[in-house]
Amino acid sequence: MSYGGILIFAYDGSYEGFLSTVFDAFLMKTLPADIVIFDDAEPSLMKMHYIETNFEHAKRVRLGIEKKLSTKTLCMVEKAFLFDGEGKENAIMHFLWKAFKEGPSTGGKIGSEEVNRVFKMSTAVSYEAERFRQFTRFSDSNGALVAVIHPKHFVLPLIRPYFCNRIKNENFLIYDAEHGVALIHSPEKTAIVPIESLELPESTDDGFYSRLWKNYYRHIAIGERYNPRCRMTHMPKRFWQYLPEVQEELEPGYVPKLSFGTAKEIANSIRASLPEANY
Amino acid sequence: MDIYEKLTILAEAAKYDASCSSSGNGRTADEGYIGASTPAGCCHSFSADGRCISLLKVLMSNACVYDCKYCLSRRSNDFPRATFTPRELADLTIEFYRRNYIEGLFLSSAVVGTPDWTTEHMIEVLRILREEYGFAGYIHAKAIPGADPVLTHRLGLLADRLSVNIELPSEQSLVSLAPDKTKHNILEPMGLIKTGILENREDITKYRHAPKFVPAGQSTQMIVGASPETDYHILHLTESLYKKFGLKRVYYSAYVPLQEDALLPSIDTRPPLLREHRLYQADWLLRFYGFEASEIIDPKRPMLHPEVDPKCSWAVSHLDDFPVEVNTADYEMLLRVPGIGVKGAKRILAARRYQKLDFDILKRLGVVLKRAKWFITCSGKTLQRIPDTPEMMIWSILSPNRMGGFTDYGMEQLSLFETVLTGEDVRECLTGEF
Repeated sequence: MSYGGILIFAYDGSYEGFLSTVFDAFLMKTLPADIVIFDDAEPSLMKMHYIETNFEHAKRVRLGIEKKLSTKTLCMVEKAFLFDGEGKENAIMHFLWKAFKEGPSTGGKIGSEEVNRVFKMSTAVSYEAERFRQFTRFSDSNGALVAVIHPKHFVLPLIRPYFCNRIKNENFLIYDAEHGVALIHSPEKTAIVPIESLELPESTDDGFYSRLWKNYYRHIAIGERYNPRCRMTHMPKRFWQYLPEVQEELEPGYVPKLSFGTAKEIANSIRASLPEANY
Repeated sequence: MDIYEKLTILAEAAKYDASCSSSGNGRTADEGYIGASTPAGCCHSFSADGRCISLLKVLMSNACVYDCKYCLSRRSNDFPRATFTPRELADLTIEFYRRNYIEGLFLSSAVVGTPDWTTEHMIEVLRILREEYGFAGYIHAKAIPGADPVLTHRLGLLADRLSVNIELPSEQSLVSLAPDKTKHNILEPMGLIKTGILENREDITKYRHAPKFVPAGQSTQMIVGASPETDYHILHLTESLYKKFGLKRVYYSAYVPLQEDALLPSIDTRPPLLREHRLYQADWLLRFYGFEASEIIDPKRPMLHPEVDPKCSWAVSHLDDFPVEVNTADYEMLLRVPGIGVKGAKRILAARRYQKLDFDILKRLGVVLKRAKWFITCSGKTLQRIPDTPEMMIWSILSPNRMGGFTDYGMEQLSLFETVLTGEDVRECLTGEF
């Protein structure tokens, strides 16, 4: 089938939507020039192919990756999709294109460019998730625990098992303000739901335990070994806003940059390496 | 005395314990209860000295009957004393835990009254946590030397990890600085825990519900720089502790002078942080890189090199084995290349199954070439001309960072193994991994 000219795929931004895109690409035997989300799509001279999310297709693609490639590859793709950066869909699409051509071992070829990009994206997401396992802090509001986080990537699905396991007897809520989504847990039920905005309720324990914790933090350090650089390496400043123990050390008005470092680097490298679109 | 004040005193007293890891065991609480621990552990904060805070590290009490010279809690010191009640401490742990401040509890104690009484008191804290709260978070407890083996065993059934501090690296130092402790009563509980773990391993294979004894293994700690032992001595001691007692970790703690005593280094001595750092590097080589203590250090030069890390100084004195061909070298040899760690070596193994590696691909894999480039080839090619004498090699490795230092100190300082420490070194060491 020929479509004459380069094609752009547009989908709704969901994971199932993306898998449907993959399904269509393989069906049409066409590697799209770009994959965009409906809302963000800029008018362009290229042909647009709008893809409706089809759960049946998505399921087939997921099964296909798992059976024809490997569970590990599926895992990597799923993690990489949580990456929040331009061009991730395209990078994953190129990877899958290569993988279905070359077979189940492709996921391990982390030295090759197409694979390495997806590998890096998934590692960046894992890294971010680990930071939020470490540095998410709850405050107690009438017995329920509440936390607000601003992760670079969409980490809630990855930190969900950790928190649902360790405090499964509690009611808690983690609000991802960056992506407008919250993880809500009660002993009976857990869900990740979209939330527009959230007023953080005042803590009702009067900050007693956070004061105790701050005091503990101050006294556990050995003055003679003071080493702010080492601390900063392990606990970068953009996480300090969550941590009662160091909040006071944060200069007033500090705003963490969100799009920088690895995420930006990877996004740029994806952009640079993809075939130039002919406008 | 309120809990705020108690926590201040007892955290302050516990801070010289180096260990704070929450790794080595996974458990999950029963339905409806709190807590879980994962084998990898998790650090929830880092204190101003850059050390990880993973556990609530406190002493049960600092009202000690012993009189160790290096210790602030010693009997003869006029110092505020405090003791937690078991209930207080258990509640505090749970409240911190549910706010995601900590991964569990690290409970140590001064010896109050008798070792038995102290251990019983500690057992009570752990019992409340494990039985009443059903807490499955991580618990690291100190075994108190001199306590009844039955009590230590009970402590071990409740905790994830036990440790006995060896305190000082030799018996002579122990006699002079910690007169109430003896080598025998430190090694005795260590041996007990070791046999306990071995027996338990057998039980677990036989009975599905056998309670686990110290599932995350035992560790120990020694103070470096308070007594005259050399690195040679310390590393061989470490190696034998790993081999004989099957320890998971040996921690080193740079001696911070807290009081004047004729037998101790003077009060204005700076803690030997660089030395401690080098010891940890050597310790990693023993545990993860397949090195023997005798390879890392020899009795003729009994201290680790301050300027060059132990792996690098091993490599420089074995230049015949280098450069290593990345595409063919085996895992053990890759691990011995300075600049390549466990992760890098594994990625190289995985990637080279599918393609020939070159330096660009190595970079893409995340292998840092800054140091490794002097010791590897890719398909026979080097990135840069490799010096052929150890002196030149050292010079090449150090020079990018040292250019600033040259004008101040002159070139002589780079002669191998007889170097003066510069401010740069110390800074570099301080930012290194702890």
